[in-house]
Amino acid sequence: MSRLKTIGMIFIGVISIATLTSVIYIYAKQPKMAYVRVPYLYDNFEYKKEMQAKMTNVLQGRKSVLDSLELHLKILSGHLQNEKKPDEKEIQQFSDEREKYLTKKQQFEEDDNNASKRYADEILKQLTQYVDDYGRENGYTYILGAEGSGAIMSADERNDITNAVLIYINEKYKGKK
Amino acid sequence: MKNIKAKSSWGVIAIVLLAALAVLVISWKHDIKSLPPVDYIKYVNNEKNGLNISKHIDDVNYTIQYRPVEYMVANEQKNPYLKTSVFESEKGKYDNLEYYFMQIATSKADQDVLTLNLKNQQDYTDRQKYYSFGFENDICLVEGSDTLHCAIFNYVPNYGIAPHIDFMLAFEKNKQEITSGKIMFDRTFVISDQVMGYGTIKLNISKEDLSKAPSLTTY
Repeated sequence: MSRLKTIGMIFIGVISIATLTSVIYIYAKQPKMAYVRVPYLYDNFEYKKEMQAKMTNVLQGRKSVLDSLELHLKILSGHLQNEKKPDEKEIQQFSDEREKYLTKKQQFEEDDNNASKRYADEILKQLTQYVDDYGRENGYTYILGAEGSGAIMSADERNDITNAVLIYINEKYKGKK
Repeated sequence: MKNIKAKSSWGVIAIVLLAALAVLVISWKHDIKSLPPVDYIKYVNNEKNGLNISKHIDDVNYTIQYRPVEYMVANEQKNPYLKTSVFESEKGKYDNLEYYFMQIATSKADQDVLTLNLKNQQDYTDRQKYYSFGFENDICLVEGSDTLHCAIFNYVPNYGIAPHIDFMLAFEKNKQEITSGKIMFDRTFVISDQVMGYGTIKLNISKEDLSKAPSLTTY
């Protein structure tokens, strides 16, 4: 009887250990998932802020160049309008200046578009890499990006790691991680 | 009387133990403070010691390594028993500047880094020209409030046989640090590589890691 009891105890012990091991194994195998709010992350990424400041400076510089050309053009135009019989040379000069202004404006617009695209691309490449680094260092299987487009319709806020990731990516950008 | 004797013998044991501990600590510290040439080079090369740092983005890896004067001499002499007289005469060559090694590598082992996302052959030539002549203007070293540009810039091309390109860089030493005789600032490299398309890359070597660098044991 006592032997049977011992065998029973061992059997229960083995079953318990096996169950516990399975539970731990299944838990460990479960993907670790979290999400970040991409627009917030993007807007507060240090590199994006630097690029935005740089772009604003460039745009302001270009605007002042165009404003100056425009003012010059207006003065010429006013001068021509006041004259009853404008000189052909002055008409030609006005035409040349207008051409120069329009060409410059178009060139600036194209440059602005190209620079914006390039900067956005650079920012995104670095941001993506740093988020990936964060995921790997912290054992995440997936970090989802909630970007307000409907890809993630609902999520528990406890799985929102945006702030932790933001600190990490900014340190990483500065080379301090 | 017996009690006093016993007490004094415990005191002696305690003093001996403390002395042994002190010797152990001092000798352990001594190992870190000074290293023979081979170990010194290993120390600087070891990423864990913070003097050799890298940043990986997409397929490209940027590495910066601080090379103290001791490293430069030990690496050049390649003598595991470097003589003090040789070291003293050689170190003068490097004394005025701070030296760094930089590498741009691809994680694709069989690919020349200059061919990454290459459009055409002309693009390859332009890249080589850029890294030879233009790139040095896109690198700066920030130390506290000072921004330094390269005093020496040397591009080491790979001729397509290695997945990386190397650079030797040197910068003026910080005057405040020369005066104070200690490391006061982090070294932050700001690299605006115009080829790879990742924008501004920053790599930082902390002043703590720079201060921890050991001295070189010579013979």
